[in-house]
Amino acid sequence: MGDSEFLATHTQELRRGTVVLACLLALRRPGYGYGLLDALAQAGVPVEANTLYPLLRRLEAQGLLVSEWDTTEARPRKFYRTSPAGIEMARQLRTEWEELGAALRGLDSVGDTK
Amino acid sequence: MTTLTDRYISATLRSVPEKSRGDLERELRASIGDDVDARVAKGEKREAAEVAVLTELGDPGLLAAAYAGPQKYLIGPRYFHGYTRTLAIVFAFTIPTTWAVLLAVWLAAGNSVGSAIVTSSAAALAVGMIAAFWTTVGYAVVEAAENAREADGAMPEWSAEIRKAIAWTPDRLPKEGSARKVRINDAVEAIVGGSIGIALVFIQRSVSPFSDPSGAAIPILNPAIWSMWIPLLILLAVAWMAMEFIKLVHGAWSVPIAAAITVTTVAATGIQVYLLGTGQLFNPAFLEKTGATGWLAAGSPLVLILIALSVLDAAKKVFRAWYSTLGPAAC
Repeated sequence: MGDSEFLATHTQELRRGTVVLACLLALRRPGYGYGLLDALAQAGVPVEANTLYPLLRRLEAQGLLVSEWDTTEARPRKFYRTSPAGIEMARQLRTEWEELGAALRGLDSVGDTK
Repeated sequence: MTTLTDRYISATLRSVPEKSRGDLERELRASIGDDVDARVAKGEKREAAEVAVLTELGDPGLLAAAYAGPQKYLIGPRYFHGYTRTLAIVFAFTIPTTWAVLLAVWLAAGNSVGSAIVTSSAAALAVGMIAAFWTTVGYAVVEAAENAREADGAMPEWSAEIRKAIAWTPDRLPKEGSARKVRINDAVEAIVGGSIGIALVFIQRSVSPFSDPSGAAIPILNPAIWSMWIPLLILLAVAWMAMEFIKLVHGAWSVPIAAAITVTTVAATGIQVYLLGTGQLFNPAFLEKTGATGWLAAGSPLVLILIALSVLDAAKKVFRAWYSTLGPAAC
């Protein structure tokens, strides 16, 4: 493996955990599978379809999302929405994310002063 | 008419629990349809768009596994290392031991050498497979219990016990100077014991408490087995001494050394057990003089005890060789 492949692997590792947070934040406004996939890509958090779709069902099973079928249109779609527990979870994850960012910045500046 | 999407969806649903199929099918169909429509709107042909969408979703089996949850393996990384080590020790231990025992039993029952080798090898392999099967089942059960715990936070009491029993603690570290390191005793035992043994085999031919009417000594060991078995045993003893010496110089156990010790131990024990079991080891004339003929006849209790002792000793040697080589983590 070359350096760029290592970079790709590490970047993927770094992003993996943020998908859950991105979903919980985005779905505070109801959304459906493909719509969310597209919205996340637009927002700069690209996710693979075969990762996102199973994840939505898992988060629903954990009570972090609630779902409802919309059958008013030609194509029935399952809409997900972040539950109150999901909103609380998103708040905690976001705090964690920001603390990590601050900690990494701290480490970075220690490196600079050497 | 079934479309590519229909076939993809039914392939995915095949390994999904029945109760969630209806809902999942409708949702997956909508997601694929939306994706295809979006690509068509950007100017792609419908067929090409469908192929592209399904290709991106990937192997339906993997997708179904993703729906089922993150863990979809028999033995995951948590236990894989312990599992492979246990398997290695189980194989290295059970196969040669059962092979030697069965070979001796088969030969003692009066079968030809060829059929004894074939039968005992096949049976030893079968025993190895059975041992491997149960090792796998054991680890798979623990893994499944662990996955269940992660899924709903609960864990059955018994699996918590197993988990505790196989959990790693610093106590499992090899003791300094005991496991992997070579003990000088092994080399001393092999070289001193081996040379005394070989010397005795030769000396007993001319020095014996009994002599025949012509005044010649009556050897303890059966003169008939000098044509093949005794030279072979001497050869194995020399090989054993050489290996212990190499191990001492090398300073550590290694897989080739453990394998070589296994082979020589199993072969030497097999020959001894065969000779003892068929009543060929001792000189009938010598036994007659001492009055021990009945004691050491084929199948007598004393012979069975001697066989059991030498098999146990061999098993201990083989086990220790692999234990020292592969480390105590799996045991």
